[in-house]
Amino acid sequence: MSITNLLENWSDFRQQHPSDDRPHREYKWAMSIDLDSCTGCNACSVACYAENNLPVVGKEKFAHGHSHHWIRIERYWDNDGREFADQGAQFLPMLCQHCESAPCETVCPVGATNHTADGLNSQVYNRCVGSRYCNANCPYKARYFNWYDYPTTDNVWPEPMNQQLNPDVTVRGKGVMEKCTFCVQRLTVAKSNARSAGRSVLDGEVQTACQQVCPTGAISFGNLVDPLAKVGKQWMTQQVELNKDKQAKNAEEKAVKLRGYRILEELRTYPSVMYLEQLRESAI
Amino acid sequence: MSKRHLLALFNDFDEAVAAIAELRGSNIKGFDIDDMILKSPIEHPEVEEVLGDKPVNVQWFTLVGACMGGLLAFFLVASAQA
Amino acid sequence: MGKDIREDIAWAQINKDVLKSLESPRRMYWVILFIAIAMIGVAVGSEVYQYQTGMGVSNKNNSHVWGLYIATFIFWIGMSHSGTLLSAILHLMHADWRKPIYRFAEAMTTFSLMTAGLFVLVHLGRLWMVYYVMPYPNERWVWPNFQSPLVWDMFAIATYLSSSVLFLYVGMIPDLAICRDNIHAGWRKKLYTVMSLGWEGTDRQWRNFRITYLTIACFLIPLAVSVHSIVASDFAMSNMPGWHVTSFPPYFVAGALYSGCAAIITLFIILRYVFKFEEYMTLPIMKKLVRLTFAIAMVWTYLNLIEFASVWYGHDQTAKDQLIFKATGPYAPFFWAMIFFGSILPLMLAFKRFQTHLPILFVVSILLNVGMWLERWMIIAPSFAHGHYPWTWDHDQWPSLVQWGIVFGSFGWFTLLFMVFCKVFPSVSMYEVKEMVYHRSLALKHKPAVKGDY
Repeated sequence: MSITNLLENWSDFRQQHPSDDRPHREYKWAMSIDLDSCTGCNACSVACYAENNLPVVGKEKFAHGHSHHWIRIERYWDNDGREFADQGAQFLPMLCQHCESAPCETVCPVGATNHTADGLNSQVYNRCVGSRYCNANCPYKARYFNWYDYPTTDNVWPEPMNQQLNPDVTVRGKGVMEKCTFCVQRLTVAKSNARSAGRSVLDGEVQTACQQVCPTGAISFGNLVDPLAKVGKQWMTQQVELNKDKQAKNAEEKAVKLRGYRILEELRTYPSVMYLEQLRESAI
Repeated sequence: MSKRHLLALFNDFDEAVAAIAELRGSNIKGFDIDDMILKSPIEHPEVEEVLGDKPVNVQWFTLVGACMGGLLAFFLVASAQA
Repeated sequence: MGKDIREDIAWAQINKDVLKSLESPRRMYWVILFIAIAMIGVAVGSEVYQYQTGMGVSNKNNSHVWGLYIATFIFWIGMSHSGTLLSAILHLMHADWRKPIYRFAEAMTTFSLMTAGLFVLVHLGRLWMVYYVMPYPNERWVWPNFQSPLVWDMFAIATYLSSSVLFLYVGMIPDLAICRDNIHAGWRKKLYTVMSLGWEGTDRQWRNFRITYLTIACFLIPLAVSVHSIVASDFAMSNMPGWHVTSFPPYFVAGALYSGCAAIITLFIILRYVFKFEEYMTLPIMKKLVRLTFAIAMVWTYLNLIEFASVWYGHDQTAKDQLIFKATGPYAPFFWAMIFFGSILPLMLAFKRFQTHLPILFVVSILLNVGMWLERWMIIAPSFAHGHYPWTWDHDQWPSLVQWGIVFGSFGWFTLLFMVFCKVFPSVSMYEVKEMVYHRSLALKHKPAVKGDY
C-alpha cells in the first residue's frame, strides 16, 4: 500500500517547505503582531491559559523555569545610558512561530511534530516520547515541556477553575512537549462550518484566543491565501514575504521605512508570525 | 576397507608443517589431504598454503542474511516515507 | 625499551596465570561489588522517583531541556570506542602488542555501550513509549522520523552494540575452550562448554575463525567511526550556537578515542595489580598505550582549536557570543578545567619518566576522563544558557541530585558488569599471548625474522 503510494506520489514526498511552485492551496494561517500597539498587559497570555487548558504551575515551579505560557510577554529595556528607559520597557509577545521550515519537525525522532496542509506546525501529544530535541532545536524556545503530571497535581486548576477547562482541548500528561497551536480547535470548527456552507473560512470568522482578548487589537490572525484577509494585507503592505529568508525591502539601498519583520529570519525557519516594530520617540 | 586413524604429536610446528607437506606430496592410496586434521592451540595462517583450500559454505549463508537485512531495511524506510 | 613480553613464558604458565584470575574472588572483590550495587541502587531509586514524578525533578527546565543525561551518554559512548581501536584497527595493522590488553578493552567497549544506552532511556520524558522510536509495522503505518539524528543514533548504537558483543565473543571462543578443558565441574563447565561451540583448534576451525574475526574487525572500524559521528550529528545537525559546527563528527571521534584510551590505562593498571598480570600487561606495552593516548590527546586538542578558530573567524555572531560565554560566563571554571585536563595535563605523557610511572598514570588517566566528561557537559549546557534567543539567557540551571544520582550510579553499573566479566571470562587473551610469545621466540631463533611480518 505504502510503497505504491510512495512511487505514485514521489514528487509530493520530495516537497519542501516553503515551496514556491506548490504554495498552500486553501489555507495558510499566519499572524501579525503590532508591537506599537502592544501594552504588555498579558491578557493574551491569560486568554491562552483559559482556552488551551494550560497548567498553572505556581510560583516555585515558575521560578525553576517550568512554566507553560504558550504566549509569553517578553520585556526588553533600552536604557540607553539613563537610569530608566524613557518610555519604559518594550514588549514582545512570543509564541510558536509556526515556521514553514520548522527546525523542530526534522529532529523529532518519532515524527510527533509535523507540518499540516494549513501551514501549521502541529504537535501530536500521543506520539511524543519526550526526547525534547524539538525544544533544543527551536531557536525561539517557544516549546514547553510537561515536567510533571500537571492534571493530577494539586492547585494547577484549583476549584472552581477546573470547571472552566476547555472540553475541546486535551489536557497533557507528564513527559510530552506542547506549544501554541494557533488555537487549532477553533480553526477546525471554522473550517468545518465553512465546508458545510460550501465556502472557505472568511476573514474574521475565526480568531485565536490571544487575538480575541487583545485590548489594543495588536494581534491579527487569518488566512494568508485569502486576498481579502487583513493579515495578508498587512504582510503585503510591509513587504514581508513568507518564502524569503531575506526580505527584498531590506536590501534596497535606502531601506524602505516599513516596520514589518520576522524574528531570526536568517536561520531560514520562515516563520508565520510577522512583527511590526515599535516606534520609539528616541528612534524618530 | 576398514578406516584407520593415525595420531601424530609434534613438539615443533615446523616439523608438523614439513610432515604435512610430505603427506601432500606423497600418493597414499585411500588418503585424501582433506581427511587430515591439524590441531593447534594457536593460529597458523601459513599452514593453509600447504593444506590448500577447503570449501566453506557458511559465507553464503552470511551473504544471503546480509542481503535480506539490507532489503528489509530498505523496504521499511521506503514504506515509512509514504 | 624492554620487551613487550618475555619469549620464554611457557604456554602452560600462560593458561595457569590467566585461569587463576577466574578463581573464587577475595573478600575485597565482594566489598567492591557491593559498593557498585549500592551505587546502582542510588540510580535506580532516582530513576523510579523521576519516572513516577516527572522529568521536573531532574531540575531541567524549559530552556535547559537536556542535561547531564545526554552529556554522560556521550561520555559512555565515547569510552566505548577505544576497545574497537585496540582490537580492530591494531589487529589489521598487525600491532601485536595489543594482544595481552585488547580483551578487557573490548569488554569495556561493550559495557560502556550498555551503560550509554540506559541514559537514552533515562532521558526520555515518556520512557514507556520508547518503542515508538523503532520502526515496526503497525496498522496505522506510523513510522519514526528517519530525518532525525536521534533515530540514526538508535540504529547506530544498536548495531554497534550487537557487533561489538559479537566481536568480543568470537575473539574469546578459543579461550573459552581452554577454560572448558581446564575446569572440571560446576556451572562454569557447562557455561564454557556451551559457549566454546565445540572448539577443538583444528585447522579448519582456525581458518574460519580467522576469516570471521577479520571480517568483523573490518566491519567494526567504519561502524565505530560512524557511531560517534552520528552522535555528533545530534548536535551538528541542529541550529543551536555552539552545536552547529561542521567539525563536530571528527572532534567527537577523537574525543571518544581519547577518553577510551585513558580508561584503558586506568583499567590496565587495576587489572595488572589485582590479577598480578605483570608478565602480560608489561610496562613497554603501557608505554605504547600512553604514547597512543598522547597522540590522540593532541589530535583532540587540535580539533578543539579548529572549532574555536572557525567560530572565532566565522561570521556567525551568535556562535561567537556562545564561545565567549563559555569562556567567561558562569560555566567558565568548568570550561577551563576541561581545557586543563584535556589539553594541558596530557602533555605530561610526553615525558618518558611518566610513561611507565603507574601511580601517576593512574591518577592522570582518571583526570583525563574527568576532563573528557567536562567536555561533553560543556557542549550541552552552555548552548542552552546562551542560545539564539535572549529569553534563555538568564535562566540558571544546575542539575539536581536526581541527575547526579543517576550519573553516579552509572559508574556502579559499569563497575558491576566489568567485575563480573573479569571473574567469568579470561580478561587476557590466552591464545593470542601464546601466539605473541611463539612468534617472538621464532623471530629470536632465526634472526633476522623470516616468519612473516608477525
